Amino acid sequence: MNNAILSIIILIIFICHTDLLIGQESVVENSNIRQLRIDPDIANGGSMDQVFSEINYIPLETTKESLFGDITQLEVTIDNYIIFDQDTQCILIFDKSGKYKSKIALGKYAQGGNLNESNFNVYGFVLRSIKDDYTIEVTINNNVYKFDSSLKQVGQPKQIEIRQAPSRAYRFSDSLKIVSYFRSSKGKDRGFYHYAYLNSDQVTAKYFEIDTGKYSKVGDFAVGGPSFIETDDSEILHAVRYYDYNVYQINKNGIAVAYKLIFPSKYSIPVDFNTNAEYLGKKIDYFFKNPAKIFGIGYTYQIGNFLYFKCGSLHPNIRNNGSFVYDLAHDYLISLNRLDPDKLSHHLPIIGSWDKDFLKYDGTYLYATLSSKEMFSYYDQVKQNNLTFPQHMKDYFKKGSKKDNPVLIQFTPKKEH
Amino acid sequence: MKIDKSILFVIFILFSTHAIAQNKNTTVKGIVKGIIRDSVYNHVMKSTTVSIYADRDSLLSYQMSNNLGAFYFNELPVGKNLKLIISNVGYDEISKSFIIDKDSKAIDFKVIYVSQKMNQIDEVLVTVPPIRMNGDTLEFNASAFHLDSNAVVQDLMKKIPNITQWGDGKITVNGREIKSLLVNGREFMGSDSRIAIENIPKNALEKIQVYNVADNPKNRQDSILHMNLKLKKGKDNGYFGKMGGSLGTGSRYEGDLSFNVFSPKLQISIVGASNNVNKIPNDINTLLRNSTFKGVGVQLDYMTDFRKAGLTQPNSGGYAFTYDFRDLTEKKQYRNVLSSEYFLLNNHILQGEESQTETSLNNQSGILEQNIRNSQADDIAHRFNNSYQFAKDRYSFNFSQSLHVNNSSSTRSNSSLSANENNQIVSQSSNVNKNDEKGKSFDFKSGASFFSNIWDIDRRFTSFDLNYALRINDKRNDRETYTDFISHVDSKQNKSFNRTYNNNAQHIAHSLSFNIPSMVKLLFGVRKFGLFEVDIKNNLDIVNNRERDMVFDYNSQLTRLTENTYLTNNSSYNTLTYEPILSLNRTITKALTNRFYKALSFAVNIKQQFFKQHNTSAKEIQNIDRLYTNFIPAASISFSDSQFGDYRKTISFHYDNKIGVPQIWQMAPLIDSANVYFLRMTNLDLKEKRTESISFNFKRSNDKKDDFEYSLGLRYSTVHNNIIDSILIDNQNVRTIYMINNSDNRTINAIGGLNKAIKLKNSEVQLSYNSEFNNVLSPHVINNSSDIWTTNYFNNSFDINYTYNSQLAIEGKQQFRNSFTKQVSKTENSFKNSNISTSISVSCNVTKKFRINSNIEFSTLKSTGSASINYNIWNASALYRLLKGDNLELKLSALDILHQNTAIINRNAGGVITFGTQQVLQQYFTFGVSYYPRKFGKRNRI
Repeated sequence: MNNAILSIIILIIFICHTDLLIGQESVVENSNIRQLRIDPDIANGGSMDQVFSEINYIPLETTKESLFGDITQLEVTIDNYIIFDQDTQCILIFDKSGKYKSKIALGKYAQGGNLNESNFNVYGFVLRSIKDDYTIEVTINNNVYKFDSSLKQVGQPKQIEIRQAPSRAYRFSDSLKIVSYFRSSKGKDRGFYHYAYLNSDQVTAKYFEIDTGKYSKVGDFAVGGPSFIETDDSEILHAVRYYDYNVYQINKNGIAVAYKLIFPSKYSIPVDFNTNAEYLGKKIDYFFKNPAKIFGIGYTYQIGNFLYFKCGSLHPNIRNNGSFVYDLAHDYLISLNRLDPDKLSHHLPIIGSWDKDFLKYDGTYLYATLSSKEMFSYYDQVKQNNLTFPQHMKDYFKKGSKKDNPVLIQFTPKKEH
Repeated sequence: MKIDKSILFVIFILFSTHAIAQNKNTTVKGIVKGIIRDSVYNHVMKSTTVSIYADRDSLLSYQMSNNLGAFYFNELPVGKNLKLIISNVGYDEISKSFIIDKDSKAIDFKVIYVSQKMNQIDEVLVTVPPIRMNGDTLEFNASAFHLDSNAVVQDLMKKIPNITQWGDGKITVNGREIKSLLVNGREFMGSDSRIAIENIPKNALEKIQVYNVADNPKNRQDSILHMNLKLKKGKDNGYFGKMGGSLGTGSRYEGDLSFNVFSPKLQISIVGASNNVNKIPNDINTLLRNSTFKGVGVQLDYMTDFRKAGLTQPNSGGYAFTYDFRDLTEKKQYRNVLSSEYFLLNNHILQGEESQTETSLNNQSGILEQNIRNSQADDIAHRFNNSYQFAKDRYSFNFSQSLHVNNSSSTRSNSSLSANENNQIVSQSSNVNKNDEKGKSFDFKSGASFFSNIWDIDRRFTSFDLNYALRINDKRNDRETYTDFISHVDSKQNKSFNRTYNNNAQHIAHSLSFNIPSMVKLLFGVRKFGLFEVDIKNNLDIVNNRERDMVFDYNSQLTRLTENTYLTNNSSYNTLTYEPILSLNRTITKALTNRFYKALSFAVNIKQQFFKQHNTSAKEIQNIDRLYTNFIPAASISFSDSQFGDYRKTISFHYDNKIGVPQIWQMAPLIDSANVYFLRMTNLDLKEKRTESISFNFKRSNDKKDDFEYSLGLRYSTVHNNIIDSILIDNQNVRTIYMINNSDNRTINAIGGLNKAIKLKNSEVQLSYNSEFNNVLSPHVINNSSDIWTTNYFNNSFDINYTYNSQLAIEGKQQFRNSFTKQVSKTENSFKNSNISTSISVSCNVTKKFRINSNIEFSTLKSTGSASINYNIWNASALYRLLKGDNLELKLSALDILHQNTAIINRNAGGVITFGTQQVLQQYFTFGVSYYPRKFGKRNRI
């Protein structure tokens, strides 16, 4: 429950950015919706090879220098894993074997060296590939700092007028991009939109105005995860909204509803939840009083015929069984929480605490993470079973401890069953 | 009877250790293991309850499957018929009978498949699992545990390894303390959990629920563990109580009545008690706690306090009423409670004391006084309290009112004989005081708090609270004193008084406080300034005292009372205290997900106190008008460290200042010559005293299943300009006293403690060690010469408590108290006092209905200048319960069987050494009958 509350608070910080303005939304395409009926209670378990063809565990090296809390954002380059950790406000680089290379302590870049956490807003970083190399851009209190791949600062920080720090962008072409959490600094419409298309910096479409009026100031629940969820088609992204069970498909032409998830009524919010004034300002209270209700979905990666998603709920039934894969070809629901740790997963678990899911899909691999506390807790339960672990995991269990850095898990997902 | 108690104590510890070893050795090692899977959806079943039953469905062991769906039992009997039951919400129950082979001593069920119920609407469990996780709530189902039909919730808790109930009433679950115990979601008969768990029958209970409640969602470490006793359907109303009486030798008697009625929202208690064995209940809760049913388990008896001075005959009675308006299904209100309470306490107290006091004088040997004091007093006090409390998401308010009426009358006599350093009698006096006092006081308190939505982190306004209290007090005191003083040195000094005092006093006090936290955020906006936050607090107290004293002396020549114009007085004392406080505070947190959460908090209180003192009196010297302005800063640093899954520790430092202004009686007392040995004089130069203190506290508790915690506290304080007595003793040993300011003092205090519980299969051992050390430096000014005395006080106690099933409970307690007082400048002037006591208490259920209790305490008192005194107090009782529901109880008690109780007075206050004896309760035997009317639910009488 404690983790739940922390995550909720983080999400609220993410989402509670306000001002009341009026704007015009673009129309969401809904002519080609596929309905998926999801009953978490009867999701199937089974073996890992139903979904994955390979699973690798990469313990991230723990030294005094490299100790961090949790992977808030993961980016993958040819040689490295680049991690942003909200706990320590650091960007860390580990090589592909998990060995620590270097880090940027973002705190020292805050204005005036003020490290007060309430004044220090960093939500992640942007990785920009330049041929075989890359740069890292971080927005710290409205200043964009640029670092090269050896984590040396490049140039002077550039001040920008981004009022919504968690904003992200995805480029379809040099001129066309889509940004999340968008608020225009020009023109009459100062509305706050979940997504906006920009063509040569001109706004061409805006979707999902976020009601930042007085009543939504009490914050909202969301499942978390990236704003733009990768699919195996680089032209197609997925998006989700809180208090909404639709999976939206984003392409360069606009946003459409791709899948409509329907849950049993005991898990579903009322259909008028977003429109009925009765719920205004009381939405968070509603979930505390009706904890079984699913407040949203997230992490909706689509890879081949498999649609991955995670349900968000305060209830332990969903928290312990909320990560799913839907086989679109066979209408077959698999719970990732119910897959047996087997030979493919080296007899180790793949999914941990409720608010975590796959951090990244890089076109080839899916990535997830488990804390060392979870790994060692699991190990304590199975160590008498004489299971065979890979040598590096044997070393990890032998030399490490539950206070070590998290373990990164790399999955090769199957595209069909 | 002389027994070396240390040897006895060691024997007891050895016995306990042996008992633990016995417990371990008797375990039979049969192993049962397996994995549970859902047969249709092909996954392992985590957190599924697996129970093992022996013949006749008696529960042997239980556990929940792990993350792999696996279970593993390793202490099961071999060669016996056993049954394994698997249960999970929404799944069909699986039952398997088996016998563990004597040779292999193990059974592996491999994979056991379970399947979801086809129809989940009416879930009927064939066998109720003893434990299960229902969402985030850990539940223990009462019906899974087979106990005697008269068992109470406490007996059930003793059967559950995860729950520990400590000697002081504290309950821990898997090592974590339960902060609140509710019954069906509401408080039950006050805040003492023992009233619920020692009265509610186990058969009326459906389940014990344990869950975390986040107290402050902004700080995830502030979660509080709650326990709720969920009663079976229809058992949420009924009554319970006790009617008891006993008669004994020496006209000793005890009688008590407690009757409690409850329904889901309403609770009413009616209580009454009368005795002449020093059992003084100070409130309704004490009476309720001492008249609980207590079920079938062993209980160490609640014994008379034989150390208490005097003989008291208390009569008491009252009622308590609470009505909880909340509809718990709606979850709209956190609190909505109306409560009312009336309590009457009438005490008849007899006290007698004979003592000898030696006062050391500088460079002289001491002077001696012999005192014989007797008193008898009758007090009657009525208390009538009402309160209403309401709390919702964003605001809370409360009102309370109380009316106290006290009447007391007493007669005290004292005869003194005073001798000089050569042991020659210099003076003697006799004094009789008759006192009659009537007092009424009315209190009204109210408070309101408003807070913003905790989720709205962008809102500037955090909260504010406003409190107001009013106290009106009216007191009338009539006193007559008869004093004869005879001087053997100078017969002219012989005095005789027959003086009457009538005192009327009215007191009105208003107290107002207004607090607004997080002013920086409120004024400058969210996240604009992060260095520190500022809270504003304001306290205002306005007090008015009016006093009218009429004093008369009996004039033997005129044979009538004549007014004593010196002591007769009218006065009005007004004070105003205003304290504006700026509290600068900051909390820095550091967390690593799944590793730790640390918080470091600083607070500096900038506090100014304005104390206006205005006294008007018919006596010129008492017309005092002063303003005391003091800067009284305070600061604190605290650090908490939670290492998830390991431990929690807190460390804190506090620095504080407190002001005590001199009172009129200290600065300008009217000298009452009738107080022949103590004459108080005027000192208008007295200043206010300032107590400055610094303290350190440390506590660490384990987050693991073994209950273990320890704590340490250190405190240093000194009083600047302390107001003390400066005593001039004349050759008749008459003391003339001036109050003076003196700063030669300090107090160092250290306390420490540790608690550990060891749960075994059939028994439990609780260990607790507490230690306290005090070092006090205090000045004594006698005949204008100041002597500094230092006192070291050391108190150690070790307690070991052993219970075996519900048949045997033994408690061994060793206490060592030592005080050493010496004059700093003259080290040969020293005084040692040590008290060692060892007690062993045993409670044993000989049969289901018959219990014996015995408690023996061996005490040794050693003091400088006197031979060591040994005394042993042995109490025993036998208790037999009758009727089907054990409602009738017969009890035979023998108290102070050895007839050795003597209350020794033995104290040293900086060179003033007193020895003596006082009247105490001694040996008696009683026979008592108690009836416990009990009904939980509409049908079943228990």
